[in-house]
Amino acid sequence: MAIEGDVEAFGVLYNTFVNQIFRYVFYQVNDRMKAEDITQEVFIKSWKSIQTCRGKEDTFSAWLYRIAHNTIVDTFRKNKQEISLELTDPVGSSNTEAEAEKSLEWQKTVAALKTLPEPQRQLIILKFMEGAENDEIGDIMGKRQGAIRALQMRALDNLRKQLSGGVE
Amino acid sequence: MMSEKIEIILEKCLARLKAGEKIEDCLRQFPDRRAELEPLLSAAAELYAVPEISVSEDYRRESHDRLLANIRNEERPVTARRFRLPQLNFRVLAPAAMVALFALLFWLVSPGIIPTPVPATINPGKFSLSILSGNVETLAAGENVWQSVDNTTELITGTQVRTSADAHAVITFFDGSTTALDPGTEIEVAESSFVNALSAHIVLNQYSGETWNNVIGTGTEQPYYAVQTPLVTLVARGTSFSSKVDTSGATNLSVVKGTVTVIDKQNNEVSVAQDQQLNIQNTLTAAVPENIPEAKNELSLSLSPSGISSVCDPNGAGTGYLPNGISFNQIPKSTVALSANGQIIQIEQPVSGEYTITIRSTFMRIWF
Repeated sequence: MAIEGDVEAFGVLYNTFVNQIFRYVFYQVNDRMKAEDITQEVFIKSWKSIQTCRGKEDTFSAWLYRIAHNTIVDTFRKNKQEISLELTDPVGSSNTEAEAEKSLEWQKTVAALKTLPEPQRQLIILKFMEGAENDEIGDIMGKRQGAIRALQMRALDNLRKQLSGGVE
Repeated sequence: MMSEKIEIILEKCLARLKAGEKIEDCLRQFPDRRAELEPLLSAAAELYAVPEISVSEDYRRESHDRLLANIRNEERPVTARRFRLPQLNFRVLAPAAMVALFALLFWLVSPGIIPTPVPATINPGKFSLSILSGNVETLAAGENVWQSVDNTTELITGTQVRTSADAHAVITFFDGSTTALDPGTEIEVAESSFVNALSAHIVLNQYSGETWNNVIGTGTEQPYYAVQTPLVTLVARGTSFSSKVDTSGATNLSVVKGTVTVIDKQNNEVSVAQDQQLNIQNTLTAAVPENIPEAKNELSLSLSPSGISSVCDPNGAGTGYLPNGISFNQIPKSTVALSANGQIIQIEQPVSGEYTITIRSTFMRIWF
């Protein structure tokens, strides 16, 4: 129905996918406000092209991820700035010492993520943060399953090196 | 037996890890691959430990309502007024004038005051024709009688458009790209479509006169935008350029922003960079890009970062920014740019007459 221009139906799609897209954006920009802005932009773009677009993707979510990815790239290109390295706690302020410690670990992981080459980061976020299956990731990234598995291994290997301070 | 590839084993272990098993469970099954697997699975476990985040309920509700409201607003039909700048009576900027540092900001917040150059509803096969002045005629595909057009109208690909000796018009495509037609110009919109998801594909045939082309694209992939003249094809990507065709078909290209690739009938190619021009009399073999001579007159408008502006020339064409950050550029040989120091609009060789300037504050956060 959204494809036929039903605004309410699109609203339902928004509610269904907003968290997924927000997470995907957040782990790339690591700034909640920026992530919210980009998420909104992704849905506006998807509405504008939903009636005419014939993407290669099999699913609506794969198509949305592709728009999100392009929007993130465009945003950084326009702003001509690197992704902020200031880290924000994804779940808000931590109350206890244990929570603070955990939060620090998550932040370390997210910081390590930033150092990965762009396709590796994209794959890691889709697979481990978003819980996407390999076939969907392949659809979003335009890669075959074999290439996804190989990329995944390189990404995890690089991430491990970063988490251990860049030493073997 | 050949051992299983490490990528496959890793995939199996990740699936088990995701299902709640421990790293050690998997390593026990592949003892000879432990050294390779363990660090990779440890990294994966770190990733699985990152908490799932989500938008706040307040944000979700507000942004949902705002999104739907904006979508409904965008569904309003395009009218002629949307392409006309408001009459604010900021006065005459003569062509020879080096203009104006505007420190004063005018907080104009009434909605819709700046024209929207993008058609409200995206339909790639259609384009908007706005008449700025003079007599403009169209010829639909398959027809042989030219029809006079008085107002902004929506046309389909295959339509030809011509301007009389005193007429100016602007064509706006579905992706926001525009082509301004000078007097005595005849063109045909040969193609206007999506290719590969969101990539715009626009082709014009320019038979005579001068056009000013500003290529926008949909922002997801590079658009393909081409102007075919009797002698050559000008292929632009994210570019502002003018194309002038005389009665013999000779083509003059001036690139103000980006680059344009010129291809002749023999498939020779020449790339013309920003601030360069190229004269093509027959083929490209003898054509060499040269620098565009410095303009004798230039109109320059700058504004501090706390505002954005747009300017409307005496022919009714506009250049500047909309409140949502989208730029539009209909004035021939004009550029508009944002930097940390603010916004600058420059118009080379401005025509004589009255210019209208609209300034808006950017203190307010405005959604589109």
